[in-house]
Amino acid sequence: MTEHWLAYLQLAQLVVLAPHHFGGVIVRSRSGPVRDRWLGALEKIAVQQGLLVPLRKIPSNITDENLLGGLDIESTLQQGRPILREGLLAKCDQSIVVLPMAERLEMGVAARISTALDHGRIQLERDGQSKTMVCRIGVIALDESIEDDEHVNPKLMERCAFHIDLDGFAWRSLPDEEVDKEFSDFDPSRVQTRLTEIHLEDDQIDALVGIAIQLGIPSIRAVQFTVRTARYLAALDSLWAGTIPSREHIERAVSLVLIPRATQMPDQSDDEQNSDETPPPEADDDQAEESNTPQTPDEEVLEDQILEAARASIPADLLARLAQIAMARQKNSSAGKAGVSQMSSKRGRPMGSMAGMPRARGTLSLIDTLRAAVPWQAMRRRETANKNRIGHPCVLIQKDDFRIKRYRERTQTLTTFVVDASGSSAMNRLAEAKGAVELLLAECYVRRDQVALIAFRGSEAELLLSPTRSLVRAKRSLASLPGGGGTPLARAIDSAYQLAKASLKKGMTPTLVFLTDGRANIARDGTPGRAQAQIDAEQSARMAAQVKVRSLWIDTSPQAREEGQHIAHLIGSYYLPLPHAGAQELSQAVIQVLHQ
Amino acid sequence: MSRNYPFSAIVGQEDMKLAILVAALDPSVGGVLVMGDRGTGKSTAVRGLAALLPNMTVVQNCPYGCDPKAMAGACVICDTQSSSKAKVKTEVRPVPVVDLPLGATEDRVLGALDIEKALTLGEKAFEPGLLARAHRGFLYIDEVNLLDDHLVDLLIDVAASGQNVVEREGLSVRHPARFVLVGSGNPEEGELRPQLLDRFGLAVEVKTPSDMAGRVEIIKRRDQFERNPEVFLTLWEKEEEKIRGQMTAARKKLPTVKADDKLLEDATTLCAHLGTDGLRGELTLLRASRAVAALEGKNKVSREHLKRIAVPALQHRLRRNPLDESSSATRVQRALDELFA
Repeated sequence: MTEHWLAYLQLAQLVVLAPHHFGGVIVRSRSGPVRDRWLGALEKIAVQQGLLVPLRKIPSNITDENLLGGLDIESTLQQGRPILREGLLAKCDQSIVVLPMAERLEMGVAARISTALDHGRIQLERDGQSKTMVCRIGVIALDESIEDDEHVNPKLMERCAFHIDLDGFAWRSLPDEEVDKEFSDFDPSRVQTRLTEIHLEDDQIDALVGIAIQLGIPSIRAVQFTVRTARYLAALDSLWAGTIPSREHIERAVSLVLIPRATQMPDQSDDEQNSDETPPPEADDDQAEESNTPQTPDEEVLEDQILEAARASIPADLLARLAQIAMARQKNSSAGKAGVSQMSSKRGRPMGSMAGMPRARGTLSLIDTLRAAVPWQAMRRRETANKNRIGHPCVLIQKDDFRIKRYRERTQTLTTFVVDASGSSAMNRLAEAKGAVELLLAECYVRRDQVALIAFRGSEAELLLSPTRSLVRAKRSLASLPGGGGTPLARAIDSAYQLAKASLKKGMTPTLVFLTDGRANIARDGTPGRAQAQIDAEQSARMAAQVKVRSLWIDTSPQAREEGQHIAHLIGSYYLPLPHAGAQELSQAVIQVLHQ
Repeated sequence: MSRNYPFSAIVGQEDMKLAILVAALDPSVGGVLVMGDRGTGKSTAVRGLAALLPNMTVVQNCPYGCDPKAMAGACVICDTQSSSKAKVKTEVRPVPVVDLPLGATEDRVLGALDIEKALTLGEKAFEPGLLARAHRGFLYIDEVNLLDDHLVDLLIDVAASGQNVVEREGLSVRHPARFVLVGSGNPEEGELRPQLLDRFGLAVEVKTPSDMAGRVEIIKRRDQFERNPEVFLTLWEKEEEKIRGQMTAARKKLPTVKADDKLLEDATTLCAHLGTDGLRGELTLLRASRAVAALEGKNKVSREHLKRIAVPALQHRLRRNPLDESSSATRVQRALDELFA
C-alpha cells in the first residue's frame, strides 16, 4: 500500500512539474480523507513550484463565457473600449484545474478542455473578440462515479496521463504524513536541464509499444505518455546521471501510465484486440501474438522483463476489474474503452442564450439582452439624438439585442427495446428488431433521443446495446446479436426496469418496447419450466408496474395469446399484437404510441 | 507559437492524406470530413496542411481577400473597383486555414458590428467574421459533431450559397465566402446532421494503426518532435518541399487532365449500383478522380484513380440500409470489386 501511495505522490509531482505535458490525473475516489490528503499533497507541491493556488475548480455546467472568456461589460463601459475578460482556462495557464464530479461534466465542456489540452492554447471567437490565448494546463478530474454506467468523458480519460484509484486505500494503511512532504522538495530548473539530455533508446521504445499491445491498450497517446513519464522520472532522479532512463524508470512509467489502462492481462495477449473492427478474440487464437509481431528475441526479453517487474505493481483489484471488462466485452462487442457511455447533461439545464425574439420560441433572457445592447449605447444615443430631439430612455434596446434563453430542449428520451431472441418464432423477429432500432436511431439526431437494446434468450437477459445515440456503436452491437434458447421473461422485465430506473435517475425519460410472444419458459432462477416461469414473469411485471414508465408490448406470436396480454396488462403496457410487422411498421408503431 | 507537426511525417493513414490533398487541390470537390478514433492524428493532419499550401494573390486591402481576376460581383469594394479603369493593386497572402473553435458565438462566425468603433467613435462599421477570413481558403472545424445546432444551420446555408449575408443594426452586408470545409470528429460522440454531412465532398475514416512497426514509428517521431521541434522540422523540410512541389505541379496540370466517356460511364454505373442520392456523388467522384490523376502527374484519369478515391467520395452518400450491417466503406469497396474486378 505504501508503495502505491508513494507512486501516486510521485505522479502528483510530475503533473505539477509539467501540467500540459501530462494532461492530468483522473482520480477515481469517493470524497473522503484519503482523497483530501492526496489533493492536499498535490497542492503543497504546487505551492512549492509557484503554481496558481488554491487550484481553481471548474464546475460541470460552466458557461462558455466563464470557461473561454468574453466581453467584460463592466470594464468595457468604464473604459469606453472593448475589454476582454479571460476565461478560467486562460487564467490557469501553466497551472492545474480541478474538475469536481468529473463524471457529470457536459460533453461540450469536456471537448473544450480537451482542445486546450491538445494544443496548449485556446482560440476565442466570442462577443466580437478574436484572440488566441496560451493555455498550458493540466486537469485533476475527480471521478466519483458509483454505478458502472457512469464514466469520465473518454476524451479526457485519453488525454490525462494518469488514472488513479484511491478507493482502495484505507486511511489507516497510509504512511505517516511526513512522507508527503518529501515530494515537494525538488529543483525544477535542474529537472528541466536534465530533461533536454535524456532520451529513450530505440529498443526501450519498442518494448513499450509491445507492452501496450500486450496489455490491450490501443491508444498511441498512452505510449507517448509512458515515454514522457520515463524521461521525467529519470530527470527527477537525483541519483541518476545517465542520459538514458534506467530499467527502473521505465518500469515505474509502465506501472504509472499503462497498467491502469490495461484491458487484458498480458498472458492472454492478442493482437486482434487493437483493431476495433474485429470481434473479441476466440480463446484458441492465443498464439496469434507470436506470429504477428516481428520482434527480435532481445527486444522480447526486455519487454518481458519490464512487464514482469510492472506486474508487481498491478493492484490487487485489477484482476477483478479485468474480469468485469471481459464480461462487458462479451455483452457489448465494442472493444476496450472505446464504447463507454458518454456523460452529457440530460437534464433541462439552461444552456446560455441565443439571438431571437421572445415570442413563442422562448423566454426572454433579460441579462443577456442588456449585455448585448450595452456596447452599442454610445452609437445609438448619437443616432437618436440626431433623429429626434425628444429625450430618450436610459438604455436603448433594439430588435437585434433580444436574447432568448436556451435550455436543453427537453429531457432526452431513452427508448429501450427488449427483444425476445429465444428459439421459437423469435429468430425471424430479430432482424426486424434490429432494423427498427436503426430506423429509430436515424431519427435520433433530430430528436436528441437515445436507444438501448436488451435481448433475452437461454437463461439470460443481456444489455446488448447500452444507451446511445451513435449509429456506429449500435451497428457494432447489433451485428453480434445471437438467437436461440428459452424465454427468460422474468429476467428480461427485471433488467428492462433496472435500466429504466437508472435512466430516470439521470433525468431521462425512459420508454420500453417489448418484442416477444410472451411465452415464458425459464424461471427467474434460470431453471426451465413453463408454470414457474409464468408466475415469476407476472411477479416481475407487478414490480415493474411501480416504476412509472411508458411502455409498449408488441406481441409477435402468430396468434395473440393470453399470457402475453396478461403480463402487458400487469405492467401497464400498451398492448399491440403485430404478428407480421417489418422494421418500418415497428418503428412507426413505436413513434406513434410512445413519442407523440 | 509552437509550430505544427509536419504533414509528411504522419505515419501511414494514406487514405486520409490523399483525401486532404485532393480537397486542397480542387476546392470544387467540396472539402473533407475526417472521422475516427481518438489520437489518430486527425487534427494533426489538417493543421499540417497549412504549411503545404501555396500563397494566393489578392486585391490589396480587400478585407475578404478577393481574387483580382474575378472582381466583378465579388465583395462591395472590389465590385466597384472592377468597373473603374484604374489598375488594381494586388498583394500576396498565404491561403487562410481558419479554425472554427467550439464555443464561438454567432457574431464572430458571421461578422457583426465592430464593437471597438461603436464604443470609441460611436460609428457603425462591419467587422468581418470567421467566414470572411476563410474566403478562398479552408474552414476547419474540430469536433464538428459537437458544434452547436444554430451554428450548424448558419454554416449549411453559407456553404451552399458561397455568400454570407449579414443584416444587423440597419447594417446590410453581403460578401463572398467560398471556403473548403474541413471537419473532424469522433463518430462515437454523436452523428453529424445529414444536411451538414452532405456538404462535405469527401469523408474518410481513420483508425489507430495496429501493426507494431507503425506504432513504434509514430512514437519515435512524436518523441523526436517533442524533444526538439526545430531539428525535427528541418529534417522533414525536404519531404514537405516534395509534397509542396507535387501540389504546385498538380495545380498546373489539373485543368488539362482528361476524363474520357468510359470513365464517366464507370462513375455513373458505380453510383447507380450503390444508389447514391442525386448527382452530387458522381460529380464529386469525377472531380476527385481528376485531382488524384493530377497529383500523380497523369494527363488522363484511369479507372485506378477512380478506385482509389471512390470510398471517400461516396461512403457518406449511401442510404442507410438497416438490415446491412457492413459499414458504408465496405459496401463501396464491395461494389468496386464486383463492377471493376
